[in-house]
Amino acid sequence: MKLTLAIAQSRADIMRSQALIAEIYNREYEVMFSDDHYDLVAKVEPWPHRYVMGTIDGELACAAGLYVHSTYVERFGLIEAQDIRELRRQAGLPAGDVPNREITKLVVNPKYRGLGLSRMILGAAHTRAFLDADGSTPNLLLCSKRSLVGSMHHREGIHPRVIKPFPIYKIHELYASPADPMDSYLILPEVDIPPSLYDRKIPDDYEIGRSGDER
Amino acid sequence: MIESTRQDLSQKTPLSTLELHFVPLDFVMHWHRCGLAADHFAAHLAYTFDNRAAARDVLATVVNELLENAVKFSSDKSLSASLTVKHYGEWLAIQTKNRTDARRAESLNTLVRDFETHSADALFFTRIESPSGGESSPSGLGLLVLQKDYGVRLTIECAPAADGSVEVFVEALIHTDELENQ
Repeated sequence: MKLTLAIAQSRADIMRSQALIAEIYNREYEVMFSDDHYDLVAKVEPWPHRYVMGTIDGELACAAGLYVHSTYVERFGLIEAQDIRELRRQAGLPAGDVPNREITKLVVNPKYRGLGLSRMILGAAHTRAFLDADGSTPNLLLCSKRSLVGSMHHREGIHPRVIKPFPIYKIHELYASPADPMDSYLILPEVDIPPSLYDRKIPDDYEIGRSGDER
Repeated sequence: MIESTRQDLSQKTPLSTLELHFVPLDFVMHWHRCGLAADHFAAHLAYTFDNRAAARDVLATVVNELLENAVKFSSDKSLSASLTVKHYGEWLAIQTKNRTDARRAESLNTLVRDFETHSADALFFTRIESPSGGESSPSGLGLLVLQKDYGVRLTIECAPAADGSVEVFVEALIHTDELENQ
């Protein structure tokens, strides 16, 4: 089975990506979306600005979004610029004028679950081609529950750095729990993403099998 | 009283009808569309009132509440739903139809039983103090406000559909004289 990973460029592909994300996020977490306003009590979230998608036989099988500014972690995570600067310093990287971006809303079409597509789309979302539209390596922010970082990111060799616990909002009542809380993370692509993944070519085709292993 | 009014209206041809067929997912993708659609319906209907501004405000609130509920409580967001407004002269009937699952239908039926056995005022304060909420367990606060503050006569009916889902019909009846004088 051939999976094509590409950045959504056309209005049609962006709309298909949003439809899949909306369908799954609404069913699982009762979330609604908006371009122009958000309300974490009424469960209305802002749309990401860019999308990467995976298609099989022309059908959308998985997608993920990217905030290229006004990230969720910055808006709602109560973090300070100093928190990011300090983590960069600890990693031996200069503070500089580095843009903040955030990967978000990673989904797999239920029809294609069991093929390992979450790993594939997670990998595609962490490529230079998707993250560095303007040629600048960003501070990659992440808002996630702890179990997912362990089961997804670490498996791909990505090592997010904890910034601080993410505050509790009503919108996450069906996502996180006291036993599996959310944190704000920082990923520094230069040191936290394996170069083989960061430099992966997009668009490209991948053979995948039922076991979920790419071949 | 509400049953006899509904029965009378069912025998009549509306003076005007405005209908929107939609896929709930479209509204989930852009939640602001609920307000846009409600504002459009309200502005369209307000032309038949002397006090257009007052009528528009009330109608936008009622239509928005019913539309948001139809979207939220559709179990399959890809199945078509509808919003219809019928103007009978003395009465306006604002109706939504959507599909849901048995679990959500049971929550709605509980809500209906509460509406039938408690006054809107009493129920309102009970819900404020111990809200439920979420799509699977509606608090009904919005619908209570429509009854309590806007004089809306509400009907909610759940009927099994051929495909195993449940068709939900919600109707808000508003007397046109009362509406203008809110």
